Amino acid sequence: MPGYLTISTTSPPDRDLYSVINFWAPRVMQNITGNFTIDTKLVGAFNASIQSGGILVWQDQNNFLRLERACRDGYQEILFIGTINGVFSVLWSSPETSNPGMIIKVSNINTIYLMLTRIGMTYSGYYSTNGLDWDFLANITMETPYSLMGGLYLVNRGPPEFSSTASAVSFDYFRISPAKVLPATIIVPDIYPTIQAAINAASAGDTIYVRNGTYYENVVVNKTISLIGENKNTTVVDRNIGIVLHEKHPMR
Amino acid sequence: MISNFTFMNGEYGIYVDSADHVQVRDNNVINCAIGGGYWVAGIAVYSSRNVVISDNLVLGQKPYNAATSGIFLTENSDNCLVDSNNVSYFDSGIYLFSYSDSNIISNNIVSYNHHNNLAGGYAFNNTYFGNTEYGASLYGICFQGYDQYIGNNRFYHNNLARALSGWQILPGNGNIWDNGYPSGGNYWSDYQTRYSNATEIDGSDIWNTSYVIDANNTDRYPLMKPWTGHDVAITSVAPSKTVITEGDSMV
Repeated sequence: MPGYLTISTTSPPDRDLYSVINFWAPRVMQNITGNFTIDTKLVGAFNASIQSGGILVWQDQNNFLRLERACRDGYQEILFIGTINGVFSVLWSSPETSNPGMIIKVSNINTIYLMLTRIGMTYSGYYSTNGLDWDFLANITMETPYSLMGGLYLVNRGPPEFSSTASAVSFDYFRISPAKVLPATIIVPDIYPTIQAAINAASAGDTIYVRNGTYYENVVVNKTISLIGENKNTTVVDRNIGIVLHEKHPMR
Repeated sequence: MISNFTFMNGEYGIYVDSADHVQVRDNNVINCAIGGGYWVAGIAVYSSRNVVISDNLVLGQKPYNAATSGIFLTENSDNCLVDSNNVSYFDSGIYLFSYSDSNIISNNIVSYNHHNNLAGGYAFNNTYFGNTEYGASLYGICFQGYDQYIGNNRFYHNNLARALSGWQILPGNGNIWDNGYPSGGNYWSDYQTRYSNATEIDGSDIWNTSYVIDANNTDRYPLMKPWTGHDVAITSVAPSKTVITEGDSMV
């Protein structure tokens, strides 16, 4: 595929980035310092579990972040996962497995865009289908040094649990630029299933857009955000103790 | 900003707690203030400044829950704008309390609340204009009076209707009930039954006889017709200077 960086694994694969398995995933890495934004265009879908590829930020085996497209349990999805101080955690996962109500589905999309920004100790993951409109996924705090590694990778876990097929992923570009803060619009329930989850994930200045539906939750806003419903008659917060805004954090 | 939602069946609809510059616009708050109790409200503002509450529909429960308010500003909630809301079925419609001062309450329709439609307690220098209140069970307006405090709340261009109990208003202490002449005062639904001999002042749509609320409270320029204009709430003014030099002219 001319003009693309393709990373591939042969069969049987057994290439992972996971402390329980191994760290043998093929990757292309370089040094990065200070604050930065990495973005890439990823072409092609995975067709077997567990295969994934995307952006890797790497300090060491106990501290790294993966923002990726994946095929897991037969589903296509976007994952933002990390190992922080040796503890693995899913920072954000799209929809089809764990949150069937969420709307982002990548099954039928061949090309996706991923963006990962570091500002200080805060890492923010974004996803896009066109490279222009970015959906904010999650923030995570990871205490990393000024200098670390960033790059692209391919995971293909393989037998005995998973597929033994070969795999490949193509990246149209890999770009490191000065950190940029996107004024994020977080859509409920597409990105987060509840209003409160979206607020918890939001940063000052963000807008949370809530689609029509009835949300049975108590909502506390403690940061400067905008909270906008799709339609005031059909975007309903029911049985709430109340929208509570507090702690001297002004709303926009 | 919080906008474009329906909040329902909550102890509060929206509770702004110690947050400045919040805007609550264009929401429905339905069947909230459940359980009742002091401070429970459709929209409550606690110790916050420069809050804008506008274009909300705020409906309580039928029958009303005791001690609830539709919109409740308390504990030094100052310089807020409460504009163009529609508030019904609470114990109190719009209630300013506990040193919530210098707020503008404008262009609201407040109806069918139990104890009162518009209320104030230890609230000063607030301005009420363009509001329409009717259908209260006990009081259209209830401002608690305290001998040592001068309310200095100003009411003008409001449409004030007889409460179901008969005309009842508790005017408080030291409030102002008109905006001078020719701007005028308020429209009082029982004016003509009380002052059947009054006439108009020079085509001004203002009666020539003051509406006396009690010995210390008078609307000097009561309106002959219900107020239908839409006063603009000016919340800030940026002064500018126009310099006209010799040879220029103003067009």
